Amino acid sequence: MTNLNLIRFRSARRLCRVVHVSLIALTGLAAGAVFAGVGTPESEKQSGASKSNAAQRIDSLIEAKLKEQGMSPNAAIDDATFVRRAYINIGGRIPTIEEAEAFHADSYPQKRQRLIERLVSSEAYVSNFYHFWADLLRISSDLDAPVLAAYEMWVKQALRENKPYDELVYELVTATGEFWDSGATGYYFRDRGMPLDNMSNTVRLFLGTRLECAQCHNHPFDKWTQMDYFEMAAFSYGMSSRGKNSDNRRMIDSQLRSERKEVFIAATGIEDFPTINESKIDAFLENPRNSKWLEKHGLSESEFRALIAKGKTAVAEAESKADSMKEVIKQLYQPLKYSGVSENSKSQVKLPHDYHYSDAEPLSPVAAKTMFGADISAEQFDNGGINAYANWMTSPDNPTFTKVIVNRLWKEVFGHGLIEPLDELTDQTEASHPEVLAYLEDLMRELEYDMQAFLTVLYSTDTYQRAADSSEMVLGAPYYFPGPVLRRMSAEQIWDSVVALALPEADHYRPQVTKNLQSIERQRLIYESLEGRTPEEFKAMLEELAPLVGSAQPKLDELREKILAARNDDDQSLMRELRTEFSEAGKGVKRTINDVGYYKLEEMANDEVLIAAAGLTTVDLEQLASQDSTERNGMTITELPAVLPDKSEQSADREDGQKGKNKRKKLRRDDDDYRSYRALVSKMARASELDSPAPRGHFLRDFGQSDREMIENSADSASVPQALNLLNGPVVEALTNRYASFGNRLHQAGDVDAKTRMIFQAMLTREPTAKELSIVSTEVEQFGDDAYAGVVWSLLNTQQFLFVQ
Amino acid sequence: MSTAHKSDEFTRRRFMETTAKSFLGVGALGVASQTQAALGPNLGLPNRAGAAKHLIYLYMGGGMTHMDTFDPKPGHENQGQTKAINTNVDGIQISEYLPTLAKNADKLAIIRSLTSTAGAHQQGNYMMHTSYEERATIRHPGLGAWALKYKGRMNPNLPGAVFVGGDSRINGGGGFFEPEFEPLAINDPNAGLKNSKLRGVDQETFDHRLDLASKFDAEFHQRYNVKEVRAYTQMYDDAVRIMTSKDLAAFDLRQEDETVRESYGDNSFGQGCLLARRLVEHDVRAIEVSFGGWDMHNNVFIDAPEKCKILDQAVGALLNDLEKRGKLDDTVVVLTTEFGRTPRINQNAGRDHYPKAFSSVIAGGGVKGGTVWGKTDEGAENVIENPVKIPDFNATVAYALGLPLDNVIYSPSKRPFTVSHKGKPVLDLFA
Repeated sequence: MTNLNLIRFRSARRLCRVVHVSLIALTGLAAGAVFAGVGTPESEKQSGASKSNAAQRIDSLIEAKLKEQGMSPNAAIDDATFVRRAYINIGGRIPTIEEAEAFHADSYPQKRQRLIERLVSSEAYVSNFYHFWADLLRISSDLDAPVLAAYEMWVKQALRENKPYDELVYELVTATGEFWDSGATGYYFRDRGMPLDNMSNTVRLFLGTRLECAQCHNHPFDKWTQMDYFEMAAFSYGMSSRGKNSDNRRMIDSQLRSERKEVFIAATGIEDFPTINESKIDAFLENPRNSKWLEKHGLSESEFRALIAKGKTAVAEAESKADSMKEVIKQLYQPLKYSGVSENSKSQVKLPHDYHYSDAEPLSPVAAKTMFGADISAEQFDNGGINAYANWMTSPDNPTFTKVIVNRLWKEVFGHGLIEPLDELTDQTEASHPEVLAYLEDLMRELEYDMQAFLTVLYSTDTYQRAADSSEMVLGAPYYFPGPVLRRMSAEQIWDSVVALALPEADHYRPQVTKNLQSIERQRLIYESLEGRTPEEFKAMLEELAPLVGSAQPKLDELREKILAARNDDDQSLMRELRTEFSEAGKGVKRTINDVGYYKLEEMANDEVLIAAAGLTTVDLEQLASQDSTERNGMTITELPAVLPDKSEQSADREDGQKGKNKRKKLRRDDDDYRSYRALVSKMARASELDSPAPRGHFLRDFGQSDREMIENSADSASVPQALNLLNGPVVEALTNRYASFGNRLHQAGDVDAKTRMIFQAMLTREPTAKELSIVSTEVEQFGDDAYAGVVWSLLNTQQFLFVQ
Repeated sequence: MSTAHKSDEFTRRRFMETTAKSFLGVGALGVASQTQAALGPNLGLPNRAGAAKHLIYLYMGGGMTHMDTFDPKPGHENQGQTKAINTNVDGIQISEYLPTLAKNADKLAIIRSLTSTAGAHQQGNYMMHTSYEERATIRHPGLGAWALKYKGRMNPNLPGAVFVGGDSRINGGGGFFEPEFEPLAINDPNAGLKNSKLRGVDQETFDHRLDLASKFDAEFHQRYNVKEVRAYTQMYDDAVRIMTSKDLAAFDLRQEDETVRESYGDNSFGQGCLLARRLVEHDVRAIEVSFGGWDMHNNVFIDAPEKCKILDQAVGALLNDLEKRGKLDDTVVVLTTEFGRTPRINQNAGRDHYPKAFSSVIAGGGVKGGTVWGKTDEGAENVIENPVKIPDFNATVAYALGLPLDNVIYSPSKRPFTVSHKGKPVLDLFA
């Protein structure tokens, strides 16, 4: 309850901000006018400058430092370079030909600003920044599939609705409840059974400090003591991702216990017979009080022991009858084993057994205490430890909370942090640009942790819109930001660029969304099936199931014997037959449990209802294409059209002047192309809409997609499998196939020049040079139409395709 | 602590990004031990000079039942339907499901006294591969990566480590080492190296198009003559080289005689073992072949014989083949798993997880064959002689490979680690 209230309180605090932002959206005001408020006089707020004063302020600080170093900034980039860079860095993919054309055709004076604002509030941004967060949060396939799906959706939704960073962190750190209600619980599921490591990760992620070394001893390179570590761990130690306590299960467990007791008592024949274990008998007898009890019942010690043994035997006999009941309960609750997170205030962290510092004894309990900044009082803590902790962490006054996020986002935009490494802050840490860092922290607080607004400022700077730096980075030396660092596209950006060329409206294509929603919904219904029953109904269900499950047992045993006999006779075919029968019988038991136990699964909503319930809408391609991108603020799903584009029409175009044999050959090739396109795109969608992380061996993983085992584990270093993928892998077909988005356009384009221009626009977002035009035309003279596929292949295998200039 | 370990993470990452080329690069590998490794405290552990060059690590995923493979207890009620058979070494019996290995027991060092406390799959698997407990703050490297770290790559055209199997994740991969220590993963041993063949074009066209690409890129290369870009040019050179290299054949099982292929068994694990042998012959340092499906909670006496049949044939063929080719002394073959299975048979005629006592095997690499080390009690429930903890087991393998057990390597977060977490090798297993 406290938890909910706090969230509500925080939401109220945000109310102004929300109104504020929707005003921007409604009036289409340039961000500059709004952001001008930061540290600037009132008069400047009205100026409506072409870029925000915040951006100007950053530029002047960066330029001053460059000057101080005797350096000058890099040249400003042209529109073509800008549109490609902005789409990649913000939207996570290169622009389509149409998008680049639309940008160039736009005559609005602040069109760069407008593009930045559109992109940061687009679905493309959600896709791109999902990977940024998933890599930080280690959202991996280790999580159970439905939990993973709910966590992914939660993070994407947070990005979509631009949840302020402090709220985002607050909700992750305090996440409790069932995962189908709160996807943020994935934060604790991820480190299930490892509350200490979870704390280390939290502190590293959000406070930029490495504590993990202090888990086993005082930190060897920093000031943190092992005691600091455990004091911090005490805050979140009680966050437990065990299965939700089930009232019905508790009820039946206690009933079974009391039944056991009754059997025991009945066997001893003495109503107040103590129910004790064998191991406790001696202790019982040593207690003088108990000898009175023995006297009262006229029992000798050996008679007493004999009665206990008798009672135990009776219980054991009764137990074996209850076996199928227990088996049923176990199976019923199996899917709910880990379904929720709760804060267990009783679980208290203790020092390790080998604690060897003088300030405390090994194994002594540790009280929570913050590592720096404000203290948390005992009363605050008693009102909910985790909430107090999260409030302390996400407070604008926390010494490192704001520093870490501004530096992270800065690095994401410019390719290099103002502090490196950005998650190992110590008292000695110095930023390359302390004034910039301080200003960014103020800006972030002023913007109330609105990440889209903050990013918009950074992307609007001249510093961002300068040529990527071409000088060799010096190891360990500070970087002065004459422009962004030259970077390779991330694995996801490379993949998504190919996808955007192959599929229409790739940003809205979500092939897995219904499957994911179903898996979450199924868990919820299982839970409701079990907990929605009254104790009487629950007991009745168990009593119905137990004999059904129990009666299957002899049949299974019999089959097992037969299989062994068949194996001894080496009768392979009989063995196979029996094994099938055996596995069917096993499945039958499972089915019975499903049918009787999870009755609510029958009520499973259909896909459309599920989609609507998740706040999604399905839109067909035509409708989507006709909408202006600014209107699409909801989450939409597009279906790939069954035939795409119209196959017969294409073939008809090609019939003119062709002889029958040729025609048939062409048609056959057509069919092959079509089949190969369908086969290819069936596995394609933006990386955020595929299994994430992709399985080992996938294109994405070869290019360094994070496996999400460690924080920030993605890589952009070269490896041979990458080259082999581009040289000999199937992706190039997704570009050149005549049924693919770009392939189709290319196919229909006019002469050599037009086709060449189109290829260069699609692949590199720029016009070909005169020399390049002539190279291609020579190619076409030599190889005819096949030359175009060759040129596309060649450009895919250039480094200018992979690197963001 | 010397300041040499305090290289900041940024420096390390840049270093990785600019010089690492994940499987054919030479840069980082050659100097790795100087940049990161440093002699740690003397743990008093013995190191072995010379030693084996290769590691073939056969992993039985799911928890291999010890009683039904290498530690049978004929006559005990826990044994169930599995019988024990004699081997070619007097006094050593193993399960009837492993007849080929029984004939090759003189090559095997059977360890029957492994003991651990990690009873869940992931934790046990991780522990066995790395000697460390799984932590959410770090990934530890596996034995193969450690071997590469200390001994380097042998064939510059091929990856230093290869993983064969369909597992969704690899425990004991490169861990916190640089990316090039990550094993190259082969899902299907029959498929060869992915994307290594020309696709829909002949060599001439391929070369022509490559040439075209470099023409288109000339201006860019001039403008951005930086390490990151040059690493990609280099990577393309390497990729094209391997496509035409004779070493590519290492991945091509079709070059084997049909009889040889059959001798390993017509299944992924068998063919994976064959691939491992080919890779050893092409000087790949470390190969893991993963064989899952040992989690026999139900019907162990139905499932174990079938699993064992595949295991027996493949490992038998591998050991004989390596010996015939003079490679067995150079190669440590390890057969291991995360834990054993409960000696007491459960109500579903299966066995559950049992880390308290289980078995593994080491062969080749100078290890004394025909040996049994350690002992469990009459019901195979408790280790009663020479217990071997997981770090001890890994120290034994590392010792066979001649890796320095004492040497400390610091992770990027500056935490100290050793190859087998201070485990003590079983020296009695060496001649």
